Amino acid sequence: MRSYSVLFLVAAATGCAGASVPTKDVADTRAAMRAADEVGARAIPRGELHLKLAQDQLALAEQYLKEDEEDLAREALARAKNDAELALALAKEKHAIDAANEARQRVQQLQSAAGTGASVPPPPTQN
Amino acid sequence: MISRHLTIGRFAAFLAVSVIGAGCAATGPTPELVSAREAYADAAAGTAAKYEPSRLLAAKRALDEAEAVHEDDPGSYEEKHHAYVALRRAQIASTYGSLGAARAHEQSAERDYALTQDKLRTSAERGLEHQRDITEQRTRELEAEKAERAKLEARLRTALESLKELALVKEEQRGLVVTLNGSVLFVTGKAELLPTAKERLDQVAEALKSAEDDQMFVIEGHTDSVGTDESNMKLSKDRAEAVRTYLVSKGVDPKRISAVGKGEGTPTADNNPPEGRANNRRVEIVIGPAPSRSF
Repeated sequence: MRSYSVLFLVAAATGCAGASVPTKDVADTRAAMRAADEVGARAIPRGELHLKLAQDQLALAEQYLKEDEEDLAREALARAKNDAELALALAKEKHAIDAANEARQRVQQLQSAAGTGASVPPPPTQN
Repeated sequence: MISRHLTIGRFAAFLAVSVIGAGCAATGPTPELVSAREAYADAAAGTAAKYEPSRLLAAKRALDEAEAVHEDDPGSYEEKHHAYVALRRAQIASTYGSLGAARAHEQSAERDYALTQDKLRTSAERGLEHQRDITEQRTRELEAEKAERAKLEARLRTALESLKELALVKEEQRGLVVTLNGSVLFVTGKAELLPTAKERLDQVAEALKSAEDDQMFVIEGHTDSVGTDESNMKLSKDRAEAVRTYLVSKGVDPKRISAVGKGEGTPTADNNPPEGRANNRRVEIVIGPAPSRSF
């Protein structure tokens, strides 16, 4: 009984959303890729790789949509979106690490100018 | 169905999944799931737990989903898809965790910067304050020294003023010269002090004691031209020595006072008339100038 109602809900959802859900997913994925690009993901090797993977998955999703394989398209878009989000995260992480290193460098410069030998923790690095 | 098989083939090509892996271990996890598990374990052990617990939780849910699909349909396309998403969620959580740690590091560096600046400012202020204290202290010392010097000079001047009644006080290049007439000091032809001389020399001793610590005194004995040079030299030396001994006995520092005999060589008057000779028989006390001080 329970599995029937689940099936009904899925069917209803698919029915109501129609083709608009993958279209929205495509738009969301493109937005995520654009955001990653704007933050500078292409400047980092891993960021560039994941943007490329996102691009490939998006192309795959578009192919599925042409073939009316909506579920497969939705899954490819999910993968694309996750790759784009990872590229964005990597770009943001790079900026944060650079900022932390610069801040630590400023401290070191100030300390050496003042002639103090205070201990300085190691700077963060990107994985 | 055919279409589904074709698309699975495309995805498999994209993922470069090992056909051998999928085929040989039908019930084992796909390489994607293995990677997702490892990535999640890394994220959970890293900074994500501290800085990005919600993203880590999302990664856990995605992994649970992949594990559930694996249970239901091991080695399937669906397992690979969910494992792929789980892998990315774990990597995203891990990356945001590292980002959070970097931001914390930056904030800590900024706090250190502010602290170092405060320390430097405090240290500079203390340095200035210390310098100011030293300058003020030095100024106070100089003023005290100046006042002491003025006091001593005033005392010496007063003492010398009183001497003017009994002796001639003159300022010369070599210092202040106090001239005492020989006839009031000594028995004629001898180096023996008269009782009246002692009274005068007591005042001289007081004046010398009020001079500055670093001033030196020279007692010079002089005679007229009567008698031989040798006898006059000896008499002048003995008389100077007698005055010195008396002054030392009255408290003048022996290290600062010396005695010399000048004989008849430096007369102040003509030796022919008796008055001139009387003037030439004398004892001069030279109070040397105080060494100049730098302020």
